[in-house]
Amino acid sequence: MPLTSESSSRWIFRSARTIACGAVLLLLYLPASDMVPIAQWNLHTWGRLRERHRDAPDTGQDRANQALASVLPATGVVGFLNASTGDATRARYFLQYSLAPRLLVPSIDQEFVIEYGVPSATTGLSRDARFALVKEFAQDLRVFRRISR
Amino acid sequence: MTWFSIAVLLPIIASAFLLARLNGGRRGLLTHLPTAAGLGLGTSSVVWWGIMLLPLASWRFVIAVDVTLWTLACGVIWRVAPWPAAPNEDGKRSWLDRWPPRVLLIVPLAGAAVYFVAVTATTPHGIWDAWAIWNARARFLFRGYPDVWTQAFSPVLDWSHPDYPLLVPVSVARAWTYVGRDHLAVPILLAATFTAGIVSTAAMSVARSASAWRGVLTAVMILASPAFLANTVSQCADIPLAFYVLTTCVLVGRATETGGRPAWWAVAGIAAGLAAWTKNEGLAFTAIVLVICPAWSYRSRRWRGLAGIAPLFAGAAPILAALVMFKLLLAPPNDLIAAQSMGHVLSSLQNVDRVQIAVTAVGKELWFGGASQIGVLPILALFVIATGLRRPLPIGPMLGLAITGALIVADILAYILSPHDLAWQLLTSLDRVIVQVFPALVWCGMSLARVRAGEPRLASNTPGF
Repeated sequence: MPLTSESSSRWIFRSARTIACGAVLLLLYLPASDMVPIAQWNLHTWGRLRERHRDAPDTGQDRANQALASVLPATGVVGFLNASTGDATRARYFLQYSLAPRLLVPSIDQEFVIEYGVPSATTGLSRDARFALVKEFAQDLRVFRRISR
Repeated sequence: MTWFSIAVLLPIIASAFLLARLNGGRRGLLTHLPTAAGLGLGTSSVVWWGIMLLPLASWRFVIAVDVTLWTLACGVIWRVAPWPAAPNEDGKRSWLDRWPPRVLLIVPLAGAAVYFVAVTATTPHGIWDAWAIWNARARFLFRGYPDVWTQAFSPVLDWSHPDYPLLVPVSVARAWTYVGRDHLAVPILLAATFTAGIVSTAAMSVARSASAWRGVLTAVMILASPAFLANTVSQCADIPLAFYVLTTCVLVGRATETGGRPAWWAVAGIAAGLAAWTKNEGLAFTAIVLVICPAWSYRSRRWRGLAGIAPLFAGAAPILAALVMFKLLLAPPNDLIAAQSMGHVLSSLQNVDRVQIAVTAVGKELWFGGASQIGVLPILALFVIATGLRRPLPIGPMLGLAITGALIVADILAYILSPHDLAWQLLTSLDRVIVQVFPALVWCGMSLARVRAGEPRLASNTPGF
């Protein structure tokens, strides 16, 4: 008789514990479910990138930026000029990330200057007699070298 | 990459030996591994930073010194037995011995893993702050050594916060040096290691002090938080800081247990010091730990209590010394502090709107934690209310609550005094600031919840915390 009572109380305890755990887990599904669409979107994007045999956008950008290193000094300060009309903060910071340990400063007072963006008819270093184009890397990235003060 | 690159793991092995030894004996190396990984990575970054300051002028010498030091550390810790091993008990010693907890963990772990892989695959360089601050600095340290690595702290880069502490960038640069190139996988693995460390340390500790089920619930709670998961893939320093905040609380808890060994205080001091070495918010955390723990100790045992807590300071001291050296020698002034004046502080504190906005925003973030309807912390609070509190109240989690609560107050104060636009500051950083304390809050809550008499307990000599 005591054995039955003990096993029945154990069963009740186990059931209560299971229900309580289930309730907590159900509740926890609420916050966790908010991450499902983000995971799905990233899986979808990753799938599309793989289909096209392409790297993640940042990896491609980093590789393109690092190509500039071939015509820049290994260390020192390099200038940066935003020739586009839009904001180039991200482009400048990402170039700094790619080209470290060079220091990138928003100025054209350096010997080497990276021009970013598509210049308008009146702007851009290609119209500046003090600079010569060293190499154009993509439509929006060019390296210039100062030829005279 | 060569076979020699595996030597990068020596500090982790040394830390695993240390944690196993603190438990008495050599058992539970695998159990301790996730926590040891975080502690090992942190301490090795301090040592690496110290070696970088020496006039060695070559990575080969730096690696030679590093390997020698950590090999010696492994040997010494393995050989020295400060305490006898705890006697064997019949009870279960692994919190995953029972199958239901294992099954329950599969879904959240798999979900978190899928999320981590999917987001990392599309943003392998991390979020903006990761590549602009932490990984960029690591590239400076790795590519610029021995001549121009200090350029990383140039005032020209003031937008990248060159005053931020160095644990993450030095850890990444150290691993890159062993690997031989700046491989993208290193910061990703670092983020995964600290994430695993958080989940494992919190779950293992609760499983040991309460029950296996509670341990599993702790892990599920942490993994169910959208803000936490979102930050695991960011590659910023917030998840490492969350690890050190949690680990400090857990180790303080272990040190305050009956018959707690003084060495637990020392390791807690190391974890607290590493928090300061990770982020500026960690410095506030370390200061809070070094005030609250001695205050509790003095209150409970007067001067004897204070003497007993000395290892806490001894553990943190070398790391804080490295931080002071960095701040004095290389780091430019912090933008938040440099912009302060007595007039600004007083006017900000008297600005009721500012105080209200900051407090409300922190309250909302604690409630939602990145979720759209309800976050994990309110569910945790419901759970604790439903189960009731453990009696007598365990000291460790209570100290943990006091420490994390004080850190949240310090964060609110920082927001109120911030010279930047408050709305922008809250929008861009609040989720990360709360994630820094989130795992520790979950651990505190789950450790305080009452354990029913029938719940299967683990043997008291179970390895872990």
